[in-house]
Amino acid sequence: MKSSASQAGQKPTQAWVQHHRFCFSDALRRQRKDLGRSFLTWLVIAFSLVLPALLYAVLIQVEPLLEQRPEPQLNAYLSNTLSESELSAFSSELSQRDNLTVEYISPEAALAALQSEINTASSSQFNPLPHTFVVTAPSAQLDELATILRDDDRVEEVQLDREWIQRWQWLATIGERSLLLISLILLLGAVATVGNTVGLTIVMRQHEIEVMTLVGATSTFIRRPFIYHGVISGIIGGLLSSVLLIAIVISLYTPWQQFIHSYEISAISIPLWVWLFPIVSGLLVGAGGATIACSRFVRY
Amino acid sequence: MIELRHVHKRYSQQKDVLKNVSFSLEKGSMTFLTGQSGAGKSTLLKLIAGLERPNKGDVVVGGEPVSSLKSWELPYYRRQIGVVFQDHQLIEELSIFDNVALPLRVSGYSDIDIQRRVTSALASVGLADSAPHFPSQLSGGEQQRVGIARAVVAKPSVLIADEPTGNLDPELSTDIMGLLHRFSQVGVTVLIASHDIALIEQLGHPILHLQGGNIR
Repeated sequence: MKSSASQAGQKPTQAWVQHHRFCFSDALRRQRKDLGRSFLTWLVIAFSLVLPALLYAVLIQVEPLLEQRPEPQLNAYLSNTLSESELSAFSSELSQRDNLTVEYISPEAALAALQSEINTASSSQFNPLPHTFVVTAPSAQLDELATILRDDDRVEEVQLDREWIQRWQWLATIGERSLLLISLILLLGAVATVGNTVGLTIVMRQHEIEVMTLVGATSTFIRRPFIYHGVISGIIGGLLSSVLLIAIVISLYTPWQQFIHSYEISAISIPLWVWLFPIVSGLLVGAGGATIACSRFVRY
Repeated sequence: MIELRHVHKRYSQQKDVLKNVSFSLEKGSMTFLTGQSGAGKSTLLKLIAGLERPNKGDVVVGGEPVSSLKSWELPYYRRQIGVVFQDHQLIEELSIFDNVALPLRVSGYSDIDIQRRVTSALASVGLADSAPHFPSQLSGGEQQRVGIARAVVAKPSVLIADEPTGNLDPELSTDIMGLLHRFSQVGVTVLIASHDIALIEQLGHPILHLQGGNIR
């Protein structure tokens, strides 16, 4: 069986390029012709892609905040009934340990700080606040120290701030994974939308497909215009998504800057890949959806 | 040019549509295939066009054993066969030019060749000025001539037509048959399925009559 291109007196690559060109312009023409339906598909793709891009942009900005967590700390609250000498003995016991930074906060100092924070003054002589030792040390050492201090009769309560940090890290991990899953679900939704749209187009053009089969079109030839349809829808949807992303970033820029500065860190510029993400993923979503639709609906 | 050897065709559980059909047609001949509705005329044409496979026997066209071609080879084979249908099978969304150009685009012809060949094919059926129009803007007879132009534009060696005059009045039918005859005169083997006995007898070409799944 001779190749069609050689029968036609044309190089196979020329025929291939020519057909791709034809399919591209045909797919564009058909989307323009059915602009209303095409626009709805582009919008669905745009909305599906803008959210992951936006969430990633936020995540990049928030990352320095997540890293700005304090050193693990242990607060040991001692009974108010302890004498000066007992306090000083406790302090020197702590100081003898290696790699510890110990800070003592007296009940008076704590009360003064509290009053200054809530902007009030009390004439009462009663001060319920305990003697506090704030210990900073490597994580493992703090765990060991907490166990020892919890068995110490002079200590009323031990609060380990590392637990908070651990929880914060878990929350951050949950946030990142949720973001990944949400992105995946939205992308799959976009693939399904493109697949459905291209599938409908294939059903509507069934007669044309039958005629093309009769005149000798190969399966690849028949599928190619529909793949282009999906890819063009995906790219246009991706471009719309990028425009939406720009609009959202511009509208949130000032309040975001103020929020970030309140943590004394400067805003990070959004990397290029975040801007390109909607377009590239739009292309992949379009190609994927159209391929699924072709394998489902084109049976020649 | 076309040879069928002991061909049997059956669709699923139904009785045999074709039973032990054998015949051969010379290159450049024009032959009519007659028979009642359901006699198997369309099935026989589909076997020659490579749209169906026989259950038994061989279909050989231009030395090519069609019945043993692999699935991926069939589209390339179909490009050597021109097919005309009773209901034209034109694509409404495409212009007359693009409808006729379809077999050439499928075969990878260059734009210049497509322009030249389509213009020539439309001129040969008397519709040179209709290229920019759409099928709905043409009469039934004109649409059938566009169908013929599409069937011959890639210069096939075989032209098969399934009831090409079924929807046309006698004058137009004679016109269409004359057109098909002109292609046989330039070496195209033409096989036409028709039940218009009066017209067929008037033209005086060989006739294959299908009855009960056999050629009589």
